[in-house]
Amino acid sequence: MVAINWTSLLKKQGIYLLALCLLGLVFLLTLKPPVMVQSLASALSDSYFDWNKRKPSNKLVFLEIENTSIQAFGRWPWSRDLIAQGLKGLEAADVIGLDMLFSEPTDLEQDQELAKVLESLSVIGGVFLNGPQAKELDEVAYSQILHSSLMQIDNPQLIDTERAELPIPILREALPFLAALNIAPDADQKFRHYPLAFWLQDAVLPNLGVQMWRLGRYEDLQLVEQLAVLGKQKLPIDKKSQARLNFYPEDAWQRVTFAELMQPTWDPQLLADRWVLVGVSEAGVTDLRATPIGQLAGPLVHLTFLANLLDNSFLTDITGWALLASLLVILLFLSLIWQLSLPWLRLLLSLILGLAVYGVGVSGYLFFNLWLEVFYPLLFLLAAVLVGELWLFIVNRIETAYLRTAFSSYIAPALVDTLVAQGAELQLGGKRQQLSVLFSDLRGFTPTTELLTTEDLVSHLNRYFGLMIDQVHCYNGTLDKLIGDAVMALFNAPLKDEDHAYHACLAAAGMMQALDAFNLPYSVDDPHYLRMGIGINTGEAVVGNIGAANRFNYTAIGDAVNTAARLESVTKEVNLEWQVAKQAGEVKPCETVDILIGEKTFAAVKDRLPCYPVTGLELKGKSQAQNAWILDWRKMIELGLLL
Amino acid sequence: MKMHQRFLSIAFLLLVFIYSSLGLAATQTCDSYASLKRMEGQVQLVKVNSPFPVRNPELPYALCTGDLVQTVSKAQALIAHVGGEVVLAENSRLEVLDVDSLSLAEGAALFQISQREGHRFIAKTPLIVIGVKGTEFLVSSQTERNDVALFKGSVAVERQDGQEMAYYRTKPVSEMSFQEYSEYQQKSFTKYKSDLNQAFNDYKEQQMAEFQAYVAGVDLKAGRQLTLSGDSVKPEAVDVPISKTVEKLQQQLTSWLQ
Repeated sequence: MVAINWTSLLKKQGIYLLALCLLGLVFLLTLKPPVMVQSLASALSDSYFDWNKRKPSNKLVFLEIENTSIQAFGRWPWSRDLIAQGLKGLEAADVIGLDMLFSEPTDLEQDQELAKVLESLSVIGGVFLNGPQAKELDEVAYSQILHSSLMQIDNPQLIDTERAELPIPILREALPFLAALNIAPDADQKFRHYPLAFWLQDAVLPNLGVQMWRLGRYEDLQLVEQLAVLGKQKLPIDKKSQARLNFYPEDAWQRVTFAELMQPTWDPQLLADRWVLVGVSEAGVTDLRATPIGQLAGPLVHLTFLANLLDNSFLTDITGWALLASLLVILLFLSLIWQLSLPWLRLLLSLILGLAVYGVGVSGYLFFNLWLEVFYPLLFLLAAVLVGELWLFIVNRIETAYLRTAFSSYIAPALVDTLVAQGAELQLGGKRQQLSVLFSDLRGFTPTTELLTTEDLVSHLNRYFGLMIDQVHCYNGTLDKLIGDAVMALFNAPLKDEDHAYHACLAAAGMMQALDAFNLPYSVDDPHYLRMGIGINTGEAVVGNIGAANRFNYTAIGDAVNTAARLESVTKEVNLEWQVAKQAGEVKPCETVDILIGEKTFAAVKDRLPCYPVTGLELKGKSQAQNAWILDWRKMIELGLLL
Repeated sequence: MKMHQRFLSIAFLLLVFIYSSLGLAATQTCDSYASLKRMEGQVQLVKVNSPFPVRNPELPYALCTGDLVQTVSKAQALIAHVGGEVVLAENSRLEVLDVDSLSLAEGAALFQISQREGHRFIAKTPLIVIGVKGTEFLVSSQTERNDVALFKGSVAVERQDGQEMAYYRTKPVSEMSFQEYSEYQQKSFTKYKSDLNQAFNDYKEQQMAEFQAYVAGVDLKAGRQLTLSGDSVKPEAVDVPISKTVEKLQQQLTSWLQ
């Protein structure tokens, strides 16, 4: 018994157990995703940026050396006096960042001229953290690096580098501040994160964007272990102190070309109070960075960081418990979907759920600056839906097979299909309920049998039963059992039928009609001619699988059942009295009495079917006289009530 | 005419006032109780509220409340304070607080504090508060633990959060039995880790310290070193004779001072 409960529990709840296991697996995957998975996940969530139509702050300007400038002034690198002349036009700018490295000496005079201009500007020069070993840095260079470094740090987790390529000394010493020009790509070689600073010996050298903010706002970046605070903003960072960039459409940036700057009509006041980043965007010269929104010039990545700072739109990753919670919410919705019995509806709703998850990801990004790697919830959803459907299919097959074997002999095959489809509504345990019971028996059949051969008898009876059972099934009845030549049928069990009394009456009339047709070839005296009485009663009974563990039947027991049998047994007697009265000249509403129905059955059908009362019936096992009603099946045929 | 004269004289006075206040602002920005006197290697000096260090400071450089002095590897700095002198060791950061106190944010420093009438000098780290009356001591502040070694005079050590701590003490060598002494010698010499960052529990074990009591503060004796765990749930402190590492550091800083 315990074993049976256990398997049925597993059958019902196993799907949730499986889904929970899948959830755990997906969550583990989010904690340490392999590179392949990471790239897949990023590729999916990168599409969020398509929804972002924001413009970066007006304060930021990209001074670009692009195609027209290259055409106007020749191939890059340009002579330094030309650059110096251009930079002079930036005198009104608040902060200037140079995303370029002057690491080779050129003509001394030109270098000196550039140095002179740099000295006069609020400018940050670039250090490339590759190239020669930084240990060879001389005292002055190291001192300058330290001078540009972050001060409020405590054990920060940063990318450590031992290589640095600095501007040549004459330019380096003219530059008020230095900054790193490096960005580290993700596992799939795409740039999504911005490292705030790098370890270079004992110095924590900030990246260009951070340095421009420090100079522009005069606020320092505090890096305390896993915490980054810039002014009043707390920046969400990852384990290497990198911030996730929130990209803008590429054409949203304010750009000024170097060629425009060199026009005699150029007004330096156009850039008053702006933060200007000077860099090369000409494809043949600069390294284009692969970002989620496509190839982007390196300087724009630094500007994106600054723009994120200015409009406070850094993205916070949803990881750990928050991600687990989102997976659990999906599981909750899935378990609701699994309550449905139609597979196509389940799949449709799962698809809608998937779209909703993506929608939540996009809205989290657009409205709350939250970054959900939507790949993981969708992976979980897909896996759970596939495994869930497979599970439901298998369980369904097992249940269907069981139902078919258990009921196909009792119930019309069409009804079995309904039963299987409505599997959930079926209760096979004992249950007390209202139902109608039909009993039919052949009158005076026992003597007849002696006149027939055994083979003839069996085939004759089988034909008769076939017709009767068809009628029972035709009106949604369940054949309970055949007892000798008697038929017992149930209505409203196990399949629900609101109008069970009416259907039982129709089945009885149908049986009489079928018997009439069956008797047609035989004369009244022929032993093949059969006479039948039917009793129907409606009331409460206990239904269920009753019997021993390995041999049981679905049946009904109770007073309502007994009364139906008794009613059937008195039809012969009542019919005799009826015929006697008729011969005595009494007018009777119908020819014969073949079907008797009980009180409750009558109550349910009295307005719809022709019934005539019989009073004072003495039934076996009943202390009081009972009322019964004769059902006029011939009239019912006339009225066209049968199928 | 009279009105015009008065207006002119007021305007003149106003100009003088503005000029003088500007001049004052340029020369003196705060009440200064400390100055950076000497430095070796890369020493950064960061004014309060500034993200960038002062470029090529002229020594001695007056320090204001909130100013930071920071050293990198192979660098040290001498800071003179009204209360005495402080030598900042390499990889350390010191914040100037006020007339009676300094804060060692990170690293190690040797304090030589002279006694002043009615003044009690306070040295702080993020973890502890050290109350001082004329003395020489060395403080080291690391993430794992804090160390205070006292060479002369007396200091009282408390935690910043005021929590009681379990106080452990190693016997003076004179009180040890021969067996205890040889065991102590073996532990402190063969397995010795010359690292102020050594894990606290490992260190406590090595020092064979015995539990004394739960105390809110410890009055440290000269020649002893107090090490406090960074743990704020179960604070502990170990009182031992001054270790070789600290002694070496003190000698190095003192010799640089002279």
